[in-house]
Amino acid sequence: MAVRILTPEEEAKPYAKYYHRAITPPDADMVALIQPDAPMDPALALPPEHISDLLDPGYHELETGWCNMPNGSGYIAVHNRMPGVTTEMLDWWFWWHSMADMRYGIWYPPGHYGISISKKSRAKLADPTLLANEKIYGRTDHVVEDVGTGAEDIYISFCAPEEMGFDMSRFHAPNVAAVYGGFGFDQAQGAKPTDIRAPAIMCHFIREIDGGIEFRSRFWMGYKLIDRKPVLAIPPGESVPVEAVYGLANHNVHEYCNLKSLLPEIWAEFKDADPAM
Amino acid sequence: MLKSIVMMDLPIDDIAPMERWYYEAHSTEISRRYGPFLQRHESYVALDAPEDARQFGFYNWRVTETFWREMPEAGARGAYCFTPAPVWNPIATCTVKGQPDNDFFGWDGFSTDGASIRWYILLRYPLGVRLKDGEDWFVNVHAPEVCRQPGLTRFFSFKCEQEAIPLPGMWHPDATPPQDMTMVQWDRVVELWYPSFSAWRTAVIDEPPEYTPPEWATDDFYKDGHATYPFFKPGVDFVSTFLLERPADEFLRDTRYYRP
Repeated sequence: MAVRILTPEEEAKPYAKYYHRAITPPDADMVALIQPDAPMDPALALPPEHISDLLDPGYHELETGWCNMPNGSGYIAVHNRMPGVTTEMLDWWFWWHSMADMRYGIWYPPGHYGISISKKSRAKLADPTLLANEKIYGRTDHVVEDVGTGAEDIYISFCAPEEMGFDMSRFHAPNVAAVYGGFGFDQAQGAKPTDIRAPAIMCHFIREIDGGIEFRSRFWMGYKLIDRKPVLAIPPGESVPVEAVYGLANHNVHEYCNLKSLLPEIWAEFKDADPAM
Repeated sequence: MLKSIVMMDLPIDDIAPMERWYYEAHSTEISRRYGPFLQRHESYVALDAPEDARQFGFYNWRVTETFWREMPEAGARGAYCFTPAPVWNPIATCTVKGQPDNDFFGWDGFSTDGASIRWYILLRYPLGVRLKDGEDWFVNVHAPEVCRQPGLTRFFSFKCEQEAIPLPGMWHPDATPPQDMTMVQWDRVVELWYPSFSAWRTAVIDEPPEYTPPEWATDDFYKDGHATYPFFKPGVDFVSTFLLERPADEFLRDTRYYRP
């Protein structure tokens, strides 16, 4: 995958050094669990209707894997432990990175090419009186990203946990520290009006562990999120392409392994800086 | 009850073989095979709209509305494949409930007050717009303003089903309508009625009410945003045609044979 060349203006930014840092490879045990020819048993997948099961203590039988479901949807689970990372850092990252292409690129330069947000969202991100949650929930990011099947336009709409269908009576520590998720649509770049806008629900479920946090990611590809409920949008007989499911799973492992290696440092350096710099 | 809608466009040179195929093969196969599930299966031929009415993603051939008492199972289920069309043509298709979700204007009139042409629209909110935000603008901001169009006689709208509703029957794997001619993801079907094309022009072009643009019309973030009415990019997020009140064909009971 190509890495975007920065503009001279971007090179002059104080955080450009993070863009040029060598990518941190993922842990070998995670790579072993996400292989193109080894989908998981679909019976072990968490149905999107049961998203609140993530609030249960302990772990599910399968926390890392990918597969196509019998209904044609795609399922991804990735369990990533992040020592040294805190929820405070993630709260900051999940709005700070959306303000500039290079910030999004720092996350994973070989696949993250660009990001944009609406004028309304930009004004919220620059508002120092707003909490992180207020900057994250309700925002839609347009990213240009290659998750393994070529550059795509992806629209990610972040939602509050109640909008995602979580049981809010159990949504508290130690069950959960934070959730970053929502729904999205993607299309290949240069898509025609007739091309499908491929939907997916995304959930990054965070719990605090000794020395850091753990990131339990789930993707339900082929589902829309409507009125707090998952809605399957794939006609019978159709399937999310296997390459797309594996590609996103593999990309997820790589991008979050890289993020965990640089987040503590970049947060410490820029958390108090002018967000619009 | 569900209503499936297929809006069709066609190069005019293909009209003869396609009319024959549609009447003689396709509608016949649907009526024969799925008649027990159908309440109505009828088609409206698009009106020959004037040029200025064709700038809104105009589809020039037919709209077929099929009311399903019960949706049959998808797949072959004892039927042959559909007879392939002699050419493939662009279609826009969706499924709605049998009755509109919103009746905004004209319900308190009488059909005897006068005949109307129907501006028949399929729209979807641009990429990046949340369905609930698009709906909020359409229902609470835009629709009340549209009701102020001079000469408007009727205005109602259906929400499109967001889950995949499979239609019954099978195309042959080697003769399937090409995906790049088929638009399937829609959010609303809208009907706006006027006494004539002149009345439509007055309401839409010459003397429109003042509209409040949605956020996507004024922010470059929404790459498919459209700055002017109807605030949807024609042919991308907005397709439309013009129909009369009465269908040209009722396939379940039409016994005219096509061949000359």
